[in-house]
Amino acid sequence: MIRSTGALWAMSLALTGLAAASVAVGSAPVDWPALIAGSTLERDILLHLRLPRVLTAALTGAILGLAGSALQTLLRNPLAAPDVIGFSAGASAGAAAAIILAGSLSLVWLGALTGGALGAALVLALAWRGGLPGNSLILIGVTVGLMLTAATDVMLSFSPGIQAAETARFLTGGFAAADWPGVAWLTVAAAAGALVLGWQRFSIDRMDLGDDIALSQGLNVRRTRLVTLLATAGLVSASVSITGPLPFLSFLAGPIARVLTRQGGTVLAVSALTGAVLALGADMLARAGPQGMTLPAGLFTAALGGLSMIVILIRQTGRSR
Amino acid sequence: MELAVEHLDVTLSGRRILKGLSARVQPGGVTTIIGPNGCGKSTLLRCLARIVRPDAGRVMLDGEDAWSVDPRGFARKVAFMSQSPSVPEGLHVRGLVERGRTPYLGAFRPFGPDDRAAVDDALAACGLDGLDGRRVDRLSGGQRQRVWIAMALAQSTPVLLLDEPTSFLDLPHQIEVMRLVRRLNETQRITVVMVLHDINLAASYSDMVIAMRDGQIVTSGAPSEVIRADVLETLFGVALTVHTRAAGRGPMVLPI
Repeated sequence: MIRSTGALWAMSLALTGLAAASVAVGSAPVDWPALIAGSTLERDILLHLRLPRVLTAALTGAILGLAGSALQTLLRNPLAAPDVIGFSAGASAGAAAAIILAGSLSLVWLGALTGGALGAALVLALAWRGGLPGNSLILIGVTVGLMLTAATDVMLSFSPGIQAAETARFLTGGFAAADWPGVAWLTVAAAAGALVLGWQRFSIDRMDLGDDIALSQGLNVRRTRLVTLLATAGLVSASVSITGPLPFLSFLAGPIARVLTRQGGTVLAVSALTGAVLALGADMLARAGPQGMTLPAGLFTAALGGLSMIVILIRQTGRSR
Repeated sequence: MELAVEHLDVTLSGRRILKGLSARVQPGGVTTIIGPNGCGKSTLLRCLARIVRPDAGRVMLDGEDAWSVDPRGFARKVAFMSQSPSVPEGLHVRGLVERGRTPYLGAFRPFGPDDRAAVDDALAACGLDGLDGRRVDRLSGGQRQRVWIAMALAQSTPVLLLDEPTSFLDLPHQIEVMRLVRRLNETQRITVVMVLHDINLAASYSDMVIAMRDGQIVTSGAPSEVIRADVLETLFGVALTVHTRAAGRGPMVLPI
C-alpha cells in the first residue's frame, strides 16, 4: 500500500514536471516576460499550440495506459495489449479508410471509431463460443489484427499519392495536430473509461486464479470480460481517432506500473500516469529534433517502448534468480 | 445444508457427459464421488459448484434452484477447490486466502475486520499460521493444497466442494489433507463433497460414496455398501479384492 502510494506520487510529480517542461520548451521557447506583458503571439502559441498538444499527449497516454493494463490483467497475459490483439489495427484501418474516402482528415474520428468497433466486434464474435477465454481470444485478436493491417496496406497502395501520404503520416501517430475539440473528446473518453474500468477492476483483479475459481467465488466472468473488452476497444479507438496509433504505449504502461508498485493486477491509476508520462516523454523527444525538425511521437513511443521492455525483462530475470 | 441434483443432463463439446443424473449429498457429512476417468465425476462436482450450467435438470441448494439465486449469494453457501488452479506469480499465502472473501466484498465494500478474522481462522485451521508471508508458487505440493483449502474455507460456507484434493501428493500428504478435511467436517460442521481417485482414501474418510460410470450413478450409500467387489468390477472393469476392516474404518481394496 505504502509503495503504491509512493509510486502514485512519484508518477504524478514526474507528469507535472514533464508537462510544465513540455509547455515551456518547443521550436521557440515561451518568452515569459513578453507573455506577461500581453503579447498576443506568445499567448496564441501557448493557448492554441502548446497546451492542447501537452494535454492531448497526456490524455492519450493515460487512455492507452488504462486500456493496456486492464486488458493484460483480464487476459492474464502481458502480451495482450490492445496493439497486439487487433483493437488498434481496427481503428487504424477505419481511420485510413476515412482519410482515403473523404480525401481529408475531416472524418478520421468516425472512421477510427467505426473501424475500432467493427474490429473488436469481429474478435469478440469469433471468441464468443468458448465464453471469451483468454488465450484463444489473444490468438484470434492477433490474426484479426494482421488481417486489418493488411487491409490498411491494400487501401494505401490503391489510393492516390497525396491521400496515401496523408494516411501514412496519420498512421505513424503523433500530437502535432492537437486542438481543443480533440482535448475535450479525449477528456470525455478518459473519464468514461476510468469509470467503467474502475467499476470492473474488482472482478478483473480477482480472475487470475482461473475461471472455475472466479465463478465459484460469485464473479460474473463473462460479463466482466465483455464489458472490459468493449471499454478498452472504445478507449483505444477514441485515442486513435485523435492521434493515430501510438505503438507500444498500451503495452508498456501496465508492466512499468506493476514494477513500480510491486503489485499485480490492473493498478489503474499508476498505469494511467505511466502512460501519460511515456506519451509526454515521447512527444518531447519528437519535438527536440535538430533545427526545429519534428518527428512523429509514434516513432519515439516505439523506440522508448523497446528500451523499457528490455529494462523490465532484465529486472525480472535478475529477481527470479 | 441440503444439496442435490435432479435429472442433470450436461453436454460438453458435443459429448454427453451427464445423462439424467440425480443424486443427494449427505448433509453435514463427507460425500465422495468415485469412478473411472471420464465418467463425469468432475463435471458433477462442477455442476454442484454452479460452474457448469446443466442443459437440463436442476441443482438444488436448500430447496432453491442454484441458477435462480444470485451468484454471490450462492458463493456464500458453497465453496469450491479446483483440481489444478493457476497460481499467480508472486502472490503470498495470506493474499491468496484473502481471495476467499470475494463474495462478501465489492468495489464499494472493502476488506474489514470480519474478513480478517475469517482469513485468520482459515489459516489456523489449515495449519498455515507461520506461512502467511510465503509465496504460494514456492510452497511444496502439500502446503499448497492446504493453502487452496484455506482459501475455500475463508469463504465461510456451509458446503465445501473439493476436486481431487490429493492428486500429485505423496502418501503422507494425502493422509494429511484427508485428516484436515475430516477435521473441518467434524469441528465446523461443513458438508464436504469431493472427487477422489483413490478408493481406499474414499473408503476411509467418507460417510457416503457415490459410484459413477458413464455419466450415471451406479450406486451410492455408506462406504461398506458401495465399496464391494461387484460394484468395483462394474465401475472399473477389473477384478479387485475388498477386505473388511474393523467397524468404522471402511473396507480396503487390493488389486486381485
